[in-house]
Amino acid sequence: MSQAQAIKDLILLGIPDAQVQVVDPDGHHFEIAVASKAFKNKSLVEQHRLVYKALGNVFEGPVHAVQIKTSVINED
Amino acid sequence: MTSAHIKDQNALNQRIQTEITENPVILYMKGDKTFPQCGFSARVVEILNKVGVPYQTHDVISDPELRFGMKYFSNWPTFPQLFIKGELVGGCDIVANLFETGELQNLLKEKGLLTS
Repeated sequence: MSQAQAIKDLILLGIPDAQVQVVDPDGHHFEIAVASKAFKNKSLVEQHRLVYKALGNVFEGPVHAVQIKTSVINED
Repeated sequence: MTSAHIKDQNALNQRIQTEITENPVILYMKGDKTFPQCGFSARVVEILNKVGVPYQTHDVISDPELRFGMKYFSNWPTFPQLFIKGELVGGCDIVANLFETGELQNLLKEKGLLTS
């Protein structure tokens, strides 16, 4: 399983309704886009914290840094 | 690097709390203003310089205890970390985002840290 897929699975575990795209340009810096209803009424910091929480301690491994882009799913 | 690096998390939390209270704008980064050691840190330095707000930096590379304990304090696992008036604004992504939308400048003006 690729690192990108592992990241995607981790996020879906933590944020079940999330729509997740993971781009892996060089194996160390991952670009992650996450859309979820869970982000509603949350500041950017809180939104990103949810993603970091889902990722757990993935940073101790080969993943050096991630670029996160969050967006809110507003459907009721 | 395990948490064995962090002799006393409470003391570290206190040290960080004091620093983010005493410095209205402080950037925890790899390297410093003149020699940022990581692209993400450099990007935030560049943004702060463009905005023209006075700011302090703290080189986490030369402070291993803080480097590995900060995430337990701020609940944010990566660097850089920008604090304004004691609050975590975010890392490179968020600061860049706020800069592009002008929200970073507004936030600094609201807090009386940016006059122009």
